[in-house]
Order: sequence, then structure tokens, then C-alpha cells
Amino acid sequence: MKVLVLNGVGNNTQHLDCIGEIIMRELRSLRWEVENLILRDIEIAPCMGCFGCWLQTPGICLIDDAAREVTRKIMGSDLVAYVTPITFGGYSSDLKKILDRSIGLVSPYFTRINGEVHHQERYKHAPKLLGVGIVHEPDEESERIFKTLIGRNAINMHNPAHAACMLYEIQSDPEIQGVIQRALSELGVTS
Amino acid sequence: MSSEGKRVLLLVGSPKAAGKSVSQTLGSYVVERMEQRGWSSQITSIRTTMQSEEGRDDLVRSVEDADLIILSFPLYVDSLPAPVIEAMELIAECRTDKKIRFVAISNSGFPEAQHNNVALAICRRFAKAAGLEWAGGLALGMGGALSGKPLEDQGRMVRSVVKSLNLAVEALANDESIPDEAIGLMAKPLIPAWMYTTIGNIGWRRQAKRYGTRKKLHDRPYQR
Repeated sequence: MKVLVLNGVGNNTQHLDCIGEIIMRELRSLRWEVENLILRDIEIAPCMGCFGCWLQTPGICLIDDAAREVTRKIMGSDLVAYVTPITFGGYSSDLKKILDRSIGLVSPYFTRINGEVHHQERYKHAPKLLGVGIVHEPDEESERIFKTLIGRNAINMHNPAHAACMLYEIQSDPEIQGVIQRALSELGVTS
Repeated sequence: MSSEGKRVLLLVGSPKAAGKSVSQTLGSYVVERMEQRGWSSQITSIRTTMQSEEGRDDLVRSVEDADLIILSFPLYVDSLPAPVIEAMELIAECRTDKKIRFVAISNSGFPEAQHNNVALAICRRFAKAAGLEWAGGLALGMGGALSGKPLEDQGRMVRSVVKSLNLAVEALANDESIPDEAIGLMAKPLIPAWMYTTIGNIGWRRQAKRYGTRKKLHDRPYQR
């Protein structure tokens, strides 16, 4: 089983790298194959909004850069973890850059899910989604937005299960481990 | 209320060129009407300005020169496009304590306007973090039915959009927040949802035919 970590900790928030390492330790303890992509170190151009990944080269972005390989890895994983400093309730720009480039992973065609219109799935087996948001200290509004965002993304990207958890910079290592373990258990992910 | 010396800054969050973006069409409609009320204006493409150090500095200066900022963007994966978030990170870092009001207009290709809710919540939270005064957000669904042409040239289908923006302009020019009526009008479906999705699905097939990919639209290049 494979875990792909999309780590959106940016240059301005590198002090959070130590939290990223604790997350990695917890994921490795599953004895799954874990790959950690530090997105700030990967050159990824922003999405052009051209829909070429739907129409011209279906499933593959027209921009030939590292994002193609990252999106391939997403589909090759059983669990994808978005690790991000919560930025105004949402993702950091480093994480969002790759998510914008991933829309080719779904079909352009519309379908209805729970009475609401979304895009049809392209692949039969999308990975489970774990959202790990890091904030300086508890912030109810940001946390609510982040959890909603993970839930909405899971619908749109057809993730079969999702969980969102919040980490605070002030938490101790065992507290952080506990939060990650509970989120993994919520997803039914065990070693 | 005197509009003398007041300045509105339109930040366009779409990566598309001017004249091809619904975000610019919606934002420009508001800006033009603010100009008619004596406001000066500036339109900035976030995608372009974030590409250079000079552009980033210009963005920070333009923000501080403004009395009202309008951010108009397309919904990308339930949120704002990455370059827009990057610009927000920069603005929040560099803000002074000058009073500036902030408005967001989000347009989505899904028929239901509610898809924009998370993105607008992010905008509101950004305003708080950056010390901007939140003056409201407008959410549009069925963005795929609109084009980059001026709204006046897009016929009766967009009449509720036009009414909404007129109400928004009136309120913003009077230093008020966007009224609920404008929010409701913007969220009103332009056509029935079933018609939008049917036309949309046919549209994808037609466009694919042009590229010779009609039978490949369901391809799974990354199937494991």
C-alpha cells in the first residue's frame, strides 16, 4: 500500500518542517510505502485554465512539467495526505498549485452527486484523502473552512474516504502523533 | 457620499487573457460604473503581476493606494487559483493599517452558486488576516454560460447578474456592504440546471471533436 504526502509547507513557514517530520514518522509506522513531496522544492507552473487536460490530451495536463508525474503518483496511491499551513482557512499556494493542475484526474462530463452537480470520475479507484492543516493556535473559523474544503474536494475528486485534522504549533510531539493516529483510524487506515 | 480621490483596484484572478475571462467581465462592469461615479481605477491581472519581483512590489503598492479592492476570480478545485492565494499571502504580509474595503466575486462552472461558498469564506478570512474591511462576496454559478465579452453584450440571460452588480455598485459607492438582494440575484440560476449540464456535456463532445479526441475523453492515462 502506498501513501503520497503532498507537503505544502512553504519557504515562509519552514519552521513547520519539524511537524511534517512527525507526520512522516506516524505514516511510516504503518509500514506502507511512503513518499513525501516537498512541493516548494518542485517547479510547478500554475494552471492556465485552458481545459487542455480534458479536451486535447484527456487526463494529462498540456504543461509538460513535474506536475504530470505528481498527478500520476496521486492515482498510484492508496492514501494521499495534504499537509499544509492553513492559509486563510484553505491551502497554502504551494499545495494549491498542484491541486489546480490535477483536474485532469476527473472527467469534464457532469454528473449529480447527492443532488448537486460535479464532474464524473475518470478512474475507478481514487486514493483516500487525509487533510492535515497546521495552525499557530486554535482558530475556529479557519478550522471550519479547512474541514469543509477537504470534504468538498473529496466529493469533487471522488476520494472514497476522507478525514481532516488540525495540528497546532504549540502541541507536543505525542499530541501530534495522537491526532494523526485518530485521523488514520477514521479513514480505516491500519498497518 | 463624496467619491473625490477614491480609488478602486480590480484584481483579476483568472489566468486567461483580458477579453476571455468571465472574472474580468464581472469585475470590469463594477469598475466602469464606479468610474462613472468619479472613482479612479486600476485593473491588475494577478497571474501577470505575480510573475516578477517588480510586479509583486507594484501589487503591494496598488493595494495600499486603493480605498476599495475587488477580487474577481474563477473557482478552482473549491477554492481560489494558486497565484491568487500567493498574492493574498503577500498582501497579508505587507499590509499597513490604512482602511481599505474588500469585496470578492467568485464564479464557478458548476450550475449551483453554492460551490463558491468555501472560496468566499477563505476571502473573508483573508480580509480579517490582512486588516481589510470585508464588504461582502458574490457567488455566480453557470460561469461556463458566460463569455469574456462585456455583460451588456450577453443578452437577457445575464439580467439577474447585471441587476446584482448594479445593486453592488450602488452600495459600494456609498461605503456600504453588498446587500443580500445582490447576493441572491447573483446566485440565481441563469438557465435551468438540467439545461446547463446537457448543453455543457454536448459542448465538451463538440470541442473534443475539433481536437480529434472525442473517443478519448474517458481515457485513463494514469491507470495503475
